[in-house]
Amino acid sequence: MEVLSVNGLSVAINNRYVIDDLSFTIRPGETFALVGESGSGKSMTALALMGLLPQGAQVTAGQIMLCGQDLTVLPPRDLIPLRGARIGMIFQEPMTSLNPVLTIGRQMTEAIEVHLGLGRAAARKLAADMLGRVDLSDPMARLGQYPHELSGGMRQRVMIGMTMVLKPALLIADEPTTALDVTVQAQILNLMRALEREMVTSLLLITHNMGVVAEIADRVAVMQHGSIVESDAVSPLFAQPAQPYTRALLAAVPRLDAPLRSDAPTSRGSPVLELRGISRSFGRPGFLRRGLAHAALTDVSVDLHRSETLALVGESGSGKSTLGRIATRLDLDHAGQVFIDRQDVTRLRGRALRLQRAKVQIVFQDPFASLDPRFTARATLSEPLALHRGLSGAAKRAEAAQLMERVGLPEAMLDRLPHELSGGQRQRIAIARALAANPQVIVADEPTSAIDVSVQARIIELLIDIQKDTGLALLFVTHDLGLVRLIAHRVAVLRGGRILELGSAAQVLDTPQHPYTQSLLAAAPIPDPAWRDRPRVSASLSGGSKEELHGVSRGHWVAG
Amino acid sequence: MTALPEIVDRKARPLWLRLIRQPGGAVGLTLLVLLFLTAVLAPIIAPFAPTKMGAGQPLTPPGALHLLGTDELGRDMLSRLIYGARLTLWIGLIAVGISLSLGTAIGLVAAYAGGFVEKLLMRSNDILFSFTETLIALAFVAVLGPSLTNAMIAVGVAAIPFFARSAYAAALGEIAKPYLEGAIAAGAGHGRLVLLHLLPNVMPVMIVVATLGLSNAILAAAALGFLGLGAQPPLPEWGYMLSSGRDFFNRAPWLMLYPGLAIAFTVFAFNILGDALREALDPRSGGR
Repeated sequence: MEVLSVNGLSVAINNRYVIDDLSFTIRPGETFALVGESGSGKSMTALALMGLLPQGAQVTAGQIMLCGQDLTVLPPRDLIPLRGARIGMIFQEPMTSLNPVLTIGRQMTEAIEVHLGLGRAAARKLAADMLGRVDLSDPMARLGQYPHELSGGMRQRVMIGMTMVLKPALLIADEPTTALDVTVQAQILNLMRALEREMVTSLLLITHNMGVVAEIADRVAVMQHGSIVESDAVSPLFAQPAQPYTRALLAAVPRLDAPLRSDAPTSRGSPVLELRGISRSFGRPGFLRRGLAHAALTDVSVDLHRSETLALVGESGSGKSTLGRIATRLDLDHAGQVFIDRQDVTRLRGRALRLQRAKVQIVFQDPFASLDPRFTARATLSEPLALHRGLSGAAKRAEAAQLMERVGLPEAMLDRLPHELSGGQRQRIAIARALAANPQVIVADEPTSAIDVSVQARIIELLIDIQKDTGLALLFVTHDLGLVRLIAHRVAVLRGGRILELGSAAQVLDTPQHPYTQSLLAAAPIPDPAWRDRPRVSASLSGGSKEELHGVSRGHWVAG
Repeated sequence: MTALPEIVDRKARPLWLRLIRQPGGAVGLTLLVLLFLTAVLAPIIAPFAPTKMGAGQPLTPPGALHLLGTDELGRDMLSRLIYGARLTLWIGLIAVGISLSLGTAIGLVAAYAGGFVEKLLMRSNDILFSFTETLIALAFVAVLGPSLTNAMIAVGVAAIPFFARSAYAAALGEIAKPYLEGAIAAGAGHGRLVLLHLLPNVMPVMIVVATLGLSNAILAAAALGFLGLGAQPPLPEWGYMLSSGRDFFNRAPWLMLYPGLAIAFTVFAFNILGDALREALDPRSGGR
């Protein structure tokens, strides 16, 4: 019998259907993935299953059968014991789903005592047992720790342990690895797969990431606008998607086996941007503040030429974004030198610095937060046009219109506010703002990680297009190695504030020399289920490397 | 790579619509519009001049001719209360004007400048914050001398620390967002960043604080009036009326009852409006 069977489920908010006639079933021990982009209704489905729909949202039709029991007709009070015991849930951000003021042990034993009716000591033992099974070292000691003492990956392990300890029939995981680094993501996915097999739990995986689906799912349903577009077992769906939407979604995912960017930068000559011996530390000890400074960057040197893309690759805390901010002169509190157009700009301040900023512009990760919510697109674009280019009146209007055309938006959108634009459109405005200053370099700090995959592909195309037209140099900060293949000429791999490997995209991605680069490549999920059981290199990643870079071939540098 | 359609957010409901959908917003706004009309139309709707002595027999109880009775000098209470609405609104607006402008300026500069300026401004602010507002207002009036104008200034200055703190906290939240860095990269200087980017984004919070601050200011001014340090006779200020009615409380309780009710009613209206505004401006409330 099915663990979960959803029949014709519809959910409406203010008479607008967010889930429309949804049906699927999950069998025991099966991993079922709901895939979709933002607004597809996948997370709303999870909330409906848990009976946790937000105020105003209502189930208007259909059944949710959990082990033969219809949850939609149960009074809310009877749902409470089901949550946790029969349905477990893991969320995207483990820090927000764990209570920060209670120890791990207290939070785990509470659920055990309530649902399994065990005593304090027995509950503690069971909790420690479970933490061991999710591969946390020294489980007894972990019980006494608070969530902030653990890393993101460890917290997600705790969450998984906490849910699995109750042996739920169904585990719902909503973007369980989206907030985690790739290497940690790979470990968590492995863990979930192993536990699921061991405990015979069914898993409903909700994600936007086709790579994660390919790694772990048995069957997949692709959602769009609140309905299932296509549903099939994972292998045939990836091999022969029947629906155009599924095909488009799969095609938009950057792949590690995609061809490298083929065109070479046009000119060499002297670099437009040169960073020499950059070091940066945070959290200097001060009055009432003890502790050591944390080094975000240590002696990093890179250069960037006209019409070239250098990708800065690394996981969170690698210092890649800090380096981008230093290049943009938004962060001035560092050691080392910055040359822009052969001019030493390290010590520039005040007006000279402000004028200098025109040459290196930046595009941020989250386009919503990086546009002033009270500025229309026109006001946003006018700022650099007036301040950096000295334009006004008709000339400024004409230039703004031209910028909109350049980034592929209709001129009419100039009068919209950020919240009236989609994520992709916002990011295009942000790119237009960066272009407005006529820069020589644009630092793109994870410019596509806050927007949907299908839109991501078009943003990358746009950046490449602009680069070919204008000879712009791009410093592309990312954690996504698939994207790097599409856009980068050269790649620098950062970890713990140091460059571990630097070379052409072909050198670094196809013949990686440093073990860390190798493990990054191995950990990246491949959107193809056929690769699921590939051998995985796992380098020992303890400690940051302190060694100097040395050349292994022409232009290819490796630490060690 | 294939193009897929993008989904665009629907336009958010305008603020006023979200506001009047809140029960508190609708009630508070209605009450305040009534109060405002009363103040503006005072010469038309008040049956007597507010300072006309002997409009009736002294201490006449509420009745047909004097709906709310008369005071010890035979002045019509209803007329005095109607004219008093003008004073009350003036006090509120001027006092809050002072605390809003200076408090916001201090908070924004402290949050934006950081470092030594931030420490100096906010620690001085904390010192002022540690005294109750009434005490600061009293000290101010003691120096400036008792008058309605001085009471307004005193009440306004006394509330500055609260406004500065709120503006500072709101500005810190905004400064953490990358749109300010985007503007810096676009060439914006200090003045532009603070006045054109920071200030408009902090204003929603400050409008809520100001609405709640209005009720505070009205209460504080009434307290000063009650102590004889605010409005001077014969001005029909509610706080002063409350205090002068105290001597006749046994014989003529309406002398205290109605000014007290007027103050309570106004403060209540501003408070529920402020709460509704906060709710309406909160993005998490989802624009109900």
